[in-house]
Amino acid sequence: MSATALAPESEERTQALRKLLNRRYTFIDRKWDIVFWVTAAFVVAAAADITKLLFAGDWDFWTDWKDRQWWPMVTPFAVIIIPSALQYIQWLAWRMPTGAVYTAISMTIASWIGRIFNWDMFGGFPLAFVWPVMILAAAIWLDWVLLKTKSFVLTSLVGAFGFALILWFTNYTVLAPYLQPIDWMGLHVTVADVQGIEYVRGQTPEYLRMIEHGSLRTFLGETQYVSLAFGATLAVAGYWVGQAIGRGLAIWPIGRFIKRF
Amino acid sequence: MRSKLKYIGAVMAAAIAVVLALPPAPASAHGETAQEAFLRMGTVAFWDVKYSAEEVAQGEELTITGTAKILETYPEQLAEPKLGFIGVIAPGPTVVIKERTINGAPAPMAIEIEKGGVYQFKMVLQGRRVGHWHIHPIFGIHGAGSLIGPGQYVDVTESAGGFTNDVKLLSGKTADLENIGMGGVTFWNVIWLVIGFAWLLYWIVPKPTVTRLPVTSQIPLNTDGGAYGLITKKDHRVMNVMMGATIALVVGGMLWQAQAYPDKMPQQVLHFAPEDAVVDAKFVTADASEAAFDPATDTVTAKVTVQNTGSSPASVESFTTSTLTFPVAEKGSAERSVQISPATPIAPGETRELTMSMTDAVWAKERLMPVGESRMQLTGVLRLQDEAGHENFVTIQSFVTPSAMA
Amino acid sequence: MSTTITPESREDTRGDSSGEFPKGRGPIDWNGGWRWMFIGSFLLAGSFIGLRIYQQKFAWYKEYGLDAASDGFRTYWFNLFLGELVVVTIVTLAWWGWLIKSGQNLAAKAEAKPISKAEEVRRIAVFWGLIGATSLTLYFMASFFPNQDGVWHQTAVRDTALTPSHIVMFFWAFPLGITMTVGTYLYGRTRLPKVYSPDKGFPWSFFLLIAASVTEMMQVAMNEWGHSLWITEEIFAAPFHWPFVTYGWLASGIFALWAESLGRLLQIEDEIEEERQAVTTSDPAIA
Repeated sequence: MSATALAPESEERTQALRKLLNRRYTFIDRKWDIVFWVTAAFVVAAAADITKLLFAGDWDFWTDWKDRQWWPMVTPFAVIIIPSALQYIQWLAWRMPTGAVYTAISMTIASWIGRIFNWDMFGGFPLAFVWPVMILAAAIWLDWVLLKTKSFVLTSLVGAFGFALILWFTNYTVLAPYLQPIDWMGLHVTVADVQGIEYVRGQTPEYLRMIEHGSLRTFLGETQYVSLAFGATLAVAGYWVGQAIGRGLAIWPIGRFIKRF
Repeated sequence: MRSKLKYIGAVMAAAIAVVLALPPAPASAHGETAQEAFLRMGTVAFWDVKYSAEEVAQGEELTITGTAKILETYPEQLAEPKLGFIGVIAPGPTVVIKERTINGAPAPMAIEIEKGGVYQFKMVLQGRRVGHWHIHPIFGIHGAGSLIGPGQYVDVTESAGGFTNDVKLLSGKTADLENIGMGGVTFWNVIWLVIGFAWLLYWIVPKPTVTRLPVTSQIPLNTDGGAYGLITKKDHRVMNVMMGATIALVVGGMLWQAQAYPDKMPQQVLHFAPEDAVVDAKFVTADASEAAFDPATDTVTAKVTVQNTGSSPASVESFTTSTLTFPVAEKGSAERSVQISPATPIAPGETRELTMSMTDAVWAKERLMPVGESRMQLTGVLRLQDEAGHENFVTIQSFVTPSAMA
Repeated sequence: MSTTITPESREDTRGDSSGEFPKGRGPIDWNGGWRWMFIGSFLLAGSFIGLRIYQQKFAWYKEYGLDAASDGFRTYWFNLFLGELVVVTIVTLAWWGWLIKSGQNLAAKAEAKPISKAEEVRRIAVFWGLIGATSLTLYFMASFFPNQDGVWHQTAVRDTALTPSHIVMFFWAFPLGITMTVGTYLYGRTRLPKVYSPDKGFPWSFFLLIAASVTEMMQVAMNEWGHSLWITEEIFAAPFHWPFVTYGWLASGIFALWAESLGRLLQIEDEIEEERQAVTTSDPAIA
């Protein structure tokens, strides 16, 4: 009674697959599920966090790097790659719209462990200066779009674009208090700037900040929107980098062997 | 076998105990000794660096003042110095910088700099983390990294109530920089984690996972498998509700921040070129013609031709290189000194060849003699004073011969 | 594919019923097949957390790690570096050697008497446990210690290739990554011949995963060379650091391992089902 042998769309095949889904097994119990979800979280957190750190780490570390020109551009690209890969893996294997949320949870916990145990407890930086980006709301959107469209092309276009925007909105909400003006020796700067000035970081001089410096642009102060739009398009590109990882490096190798070495 | 293992274990434990029980002298450097000596000497010289205290309580102030000069000899292999940053280096933010002036002007951020520039700095710090900390001033120069000035230990002692970093916002409110915004950071992270977990657990708890593979492997990618019970209509409905809640929270958050923090501005980048430091008029020139290092006696010698172009007799006060200052023997401490011969003042109009000699273990200890490096060169600043008390700081440089001078 | 087992019979048929394993130590018991996942993860995490505590005590607040030219550095850090290399080499070679040697014995035994399905399932559980421990190692390699390294280098002067953060991350966690990925492969190759027998060739999944851990170690050399040459300032997201990401991505090959072994597990279930059907249909009492 192999379901594959039956004609697609046939009622018999549908019933066979339904039965197959509810089949009882001798050795496969829920422990396999638990082990998979728990142990995979580590490698997913690892891949997601290192990708974020290497492409957008400095913007993620410090409040005074979270500007309106570079941060919204580099971060979505950096943090959508692994959620995209996991979306493909989990949709294909389990047919669950969970890849992005699963990655986001794993990365959020890993990032906070990093900040608390290393940036705060080791380096001594206050968490109020070094909190990491929040990607969960954007990840929920990404998984929801996949669930609704069942299409990776549409998810890359609609989902990734929205991902970048939601990422900005949710994090701007948290960043707001750090953009309040403050008087520092008669000069007006933001709270974030003062954190950067006061909390000494010997090897990261202020001039290294890759943030909006001004460029004689003629964009009527629209920097923010231009960066958001470009960040969103880069997120689309990042989504396909993630697809390449999921498809090429996680799924393609299954059952394939190198015959000659 | 077992007893052998026990024996090895005991020996290892004992070895570890010995290592941990014998603390060697703590380091008094922050890694600058690893930088090439000729570059340390040829880039920035620090002098008159003073710390107002050796011990401060948390929140109590400590002032570091001093002068840093970007030498005319700034080497070609480092990018031209254009942007610099004077700060401190310590094991993390053990202190916070509350004020910084460079050549008298407030300098919150990086400054525009040039070769030969003299920067008199003042930094007001506050003790933050309790402990015994080694703190140095640094001059970060874009392209070269952080160049380190003379350091000192500072003890930060505990004060009642610990450390708070209260600042007054332009809105008139007071905020503690240690935890400002953390209410929002915590609240939103918890909210999103709760919703994220709800989303994930909805899928993975009631539904078995790995046994879905035999089904998913037989159906196309662009289907939700509803017909087979993989994703049900109820699943869609629940996810729609969660998505709706997410969007509502995102919008709610934006509205909340607009209400709560109406006054915002982008991060500021306040770079500027400081006014020139106030320095005395030039009354002397100096040129080093040769230098030598004798490793056997830790002695550096150099021949310097000094011309007094002023109207008052002038004498050498000290020689500064990198973080070290060698006062002339008569004036200096026993700890460190330079011998000048002949030692008599140089008369106005006179040109004289002086021999400088510094015997000090610090050359080796601080790895400050560039023996074995790709350029063996001595660079430093000669401080001269006339009888009226005017001072000139003249950069001298010469290649080094690593043996006793003939 | 068969679906003839009813829910009612589930309790009777789940797990091993052959009596091959002691009670509670069966192929899918936490203290049975899954035991090595806990032991391996505990040992690895213990070593990482222990070294992190050591860093806290001896790197920064006691300053022995701040100056590579100091005596304290030699005592507390350079010796640790040497110790790590020795221990990781011994542990790795011993474990790999044991896997190969005992694998040969197991293969010889299996030729005489093929292993039971329950035993094969137990091995798959151990295999998943090793993948889990590898995954944990990758987390410490790519997230936990890079954060520690980040805060170190953005604060303290980089005065040696062997900074205390590097000594722990590059010379303990990274080599253990190779230990785990190659060791897991050796386990699969020697214990799960139906999935990874040598005559099938070398699995791409393991090729990518092992490449991840090996390129990571190689990237260390490039990193240090670059920092010694032209990177003097500490930008974490510098293009020069980007190649480190390749291993995070190549590690995706780990998912193929789960898939390949799960495929065999499902196959075993089918075989059991077929055997049971054959018994059912041939038993006249039932027929």
